[in-house]
Amino acid sequence: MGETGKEEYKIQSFDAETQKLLKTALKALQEFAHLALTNPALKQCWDFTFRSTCFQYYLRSPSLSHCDGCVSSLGGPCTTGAGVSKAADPSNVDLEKVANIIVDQSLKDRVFSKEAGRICYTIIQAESKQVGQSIFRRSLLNRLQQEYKDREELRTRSLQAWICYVTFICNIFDYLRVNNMPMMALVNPVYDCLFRLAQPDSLRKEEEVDCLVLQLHRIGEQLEKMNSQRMDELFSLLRDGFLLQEGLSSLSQLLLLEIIEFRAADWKMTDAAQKYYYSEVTD
Amino acid sequence: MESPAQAPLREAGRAASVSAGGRCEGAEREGAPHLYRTGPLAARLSPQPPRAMSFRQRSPHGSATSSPQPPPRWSQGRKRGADGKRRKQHEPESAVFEERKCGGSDSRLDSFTTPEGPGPLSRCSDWGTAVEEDEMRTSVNKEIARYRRKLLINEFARERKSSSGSSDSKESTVTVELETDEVVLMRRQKQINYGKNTIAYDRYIKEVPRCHRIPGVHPRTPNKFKKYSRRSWDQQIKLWKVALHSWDPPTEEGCDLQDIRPVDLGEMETESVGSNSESQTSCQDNDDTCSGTPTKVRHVDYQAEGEFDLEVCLSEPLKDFDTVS
Repeated sequence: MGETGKEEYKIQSFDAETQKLLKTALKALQEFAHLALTNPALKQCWDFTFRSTCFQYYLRSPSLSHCDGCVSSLGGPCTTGAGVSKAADPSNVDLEKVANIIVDQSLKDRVFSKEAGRICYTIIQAESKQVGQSIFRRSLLNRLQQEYKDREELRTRSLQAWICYVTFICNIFDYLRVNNMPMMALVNPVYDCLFRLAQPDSLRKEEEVDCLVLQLHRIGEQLEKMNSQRMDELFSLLRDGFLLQEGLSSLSQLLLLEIIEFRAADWKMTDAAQKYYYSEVTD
Repeated sequence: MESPAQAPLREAGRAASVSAGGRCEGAEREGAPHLYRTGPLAARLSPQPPRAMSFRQRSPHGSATSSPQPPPRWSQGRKRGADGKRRKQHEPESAVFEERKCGGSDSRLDSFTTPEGPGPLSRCSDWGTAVEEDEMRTSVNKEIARYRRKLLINEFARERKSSSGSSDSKESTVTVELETDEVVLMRRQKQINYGKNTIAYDRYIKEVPRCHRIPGVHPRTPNKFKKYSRRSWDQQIKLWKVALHSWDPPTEEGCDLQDIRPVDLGEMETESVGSNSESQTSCQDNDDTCSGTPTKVRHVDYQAEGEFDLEVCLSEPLKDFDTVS
């Protein structure tokens, strides 16, 4: 009776867009599986998360019929259980360690950081349902907080890691909900990160601008609902940057212009914008 | 010298990396600071010495007021108290549920309420705790909505039943004032959670489904939405918990767990409960009590920390489930 999981995922009905999302999540999942092969804590986590009905439900999506080698050797959804070890007792899994591994990985791997939020969500659900605890979530959030405190240092140390961090925290904000509401605690930190990306020295770096607009595309609307004043302020910065900043590459300028228009169109892509920004240029 | 316009921006969610020098990230932006002196932001600035404005040593989880009409920020959240000593960022958790009204210029609020947010945010030192509290609060709010609906439904049912001319006689029972104070509700919810997080309670609900309960014989969870005095409520909880002990498991299963816990008088004492390795996945708690308490928390491992442990009072974020693993 894995059907009870369905209710929780009603909102994630399998429309084309969701399938697309799931496909991208699969990459992160494969990465997770790959790590789990060599890491006992992750392996245990995989076991109990995997066996949770929710996880099975969404993994069984017809669009995910292909299984990566790692996933099947761990006991992916395609295997009927022979590959799955007896369910680890979640209370014995070192979920704090798992959380740390996931954060570490997401700081290294851009693809992973884009979709690891979904994995985290799944683990949290599994832990909550099976043992009624939220150790993983707490560890994850506190680790995120640590990194947040040292973010300036992180950025100095490694631009890539910083970009990954922002991607990850936005991804977490996107997926991790509390009673169907976004996490209030993350709103300001996420804004802070975005504000940092809107600073002149960051605007001069294309990768940072790219990260910024990507995050705004994904979570801008939600963020604005949580705090519209800060969004206004952020966009003031972006407008200023676009108009006055020196040293912006033309791509960066374009990205900024696009996001400004995007928001002006109420976070929707208009046909005109689609044509202008995303269509093939003939000349 | 940082642009004054940016200070409010920087204050919100400021990380602990703000140094005593009032360094603000991005303060070095040369881009267009002058725009802020004339824009809409300029109007809300109070010309304050930089120290007061930018030294919000606030907890990173960003419990800053982010509302459009905040009380003047410079009056809150001083990094140093009146005696010049640095204020500790972390408040003892027992203060979590005391809401001091805004206004004290050198006392930091224990909680903030933002218009966009769901309710008071207490000053927590870490995101994990903040989110857990958030979760409990939203759960409680959902429950009260549910309870209200239920009352309404009952009301209509009653009105329909009463004969044509005599509906007035029922009026006095219709208007019931509910307890809506969030602080109170959260405290009561915690007390309920303590009681429900026991083996005794598990055994009780398995043994006696709700439909088979006999009022007066079978314990019933006190309804946190009804108005009761503090003493009355605490007493109800106490009696309820005592009654639940009838379902304590036989001794060999470790009845240390079932020792009567100190009654939680809102002091938020930490409790150290021996851990039970068993963890059945039973969310089939069809205990949809009138208080609408969410699915029982199955908390196996309490850790007695030096402060109140919110983990103990986790609510299930999910709806009722039947997990068959």
